Amino acid sequence: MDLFWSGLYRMLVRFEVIRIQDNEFAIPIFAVGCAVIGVLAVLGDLALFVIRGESLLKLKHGPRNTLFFGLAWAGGALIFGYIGQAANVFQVSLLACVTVGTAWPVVFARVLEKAKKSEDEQQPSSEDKV
Amino acid sequence: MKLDELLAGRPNFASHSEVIDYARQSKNFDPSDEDLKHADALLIFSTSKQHTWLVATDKRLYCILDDIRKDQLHINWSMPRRDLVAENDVVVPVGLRDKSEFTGLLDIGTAHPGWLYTKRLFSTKSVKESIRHLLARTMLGQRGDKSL
Repeated sequence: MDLFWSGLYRMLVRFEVIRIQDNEFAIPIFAVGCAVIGVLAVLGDLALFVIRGESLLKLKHGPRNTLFFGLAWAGGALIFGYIGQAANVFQVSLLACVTVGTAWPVVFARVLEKAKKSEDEQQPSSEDKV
Repeated sequence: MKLDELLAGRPNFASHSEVIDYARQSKNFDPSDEDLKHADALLIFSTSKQHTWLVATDKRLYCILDDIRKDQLHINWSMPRRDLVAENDVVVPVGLRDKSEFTGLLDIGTAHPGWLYTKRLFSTKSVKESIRHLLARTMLGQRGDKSL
């Protein structure tokens, strides 16, 4: 377990890239890192909301709402970070964590949209009486 | 909506047997002469929204489109046996063209060019060979691959 915490510390604090060959916990480290960044993103958004009355993440902040948003945002980042890492989409780095942690709803909506758009479509035709 | 449709987030595609049975809806299907008991179907195109099948009976080949956004299947075209087989051989020319990394275009005879097929469905046996085997099985009663 020490390997997990040291890997998380190295990625989040020392901005190191964690490789799966060197650390067997690379995927959970990335997923937890995404969740941590997700919480920080919601807290940063709350600060902006308090100071300027606007939310970059388009959240309606409030005493209970923000706690709920923080948990939901972190949970989503953890799940999508894990899936993205398992699918080998991201490097285990702070930059990738920040991307997933702050923008996972947008990133994954776009990935899904792109996947759907790229599908070919068979056009129907009318059968003739032969 | 069924539980599996709810989990998948979309309606189910029609099954192999449902697609074969749908050939009855063709304006060219002749119930007095055509038998679906020995009919067979080959899935040639598959995406998250569409399946295209070739259904062969002893008398005709049908191209059937299953689009989950539509309420029912759709028969694109059908071809009579005389244009597909002669004596003991499959004679219809099947041409292939490339379209993208995942899909190709299939020309079945001269009357039905440009039908999409999914390459990954034919990783073990080519689409051309699969169609020839489908026709040989259903129209010529041949079993196995050696006759082709």
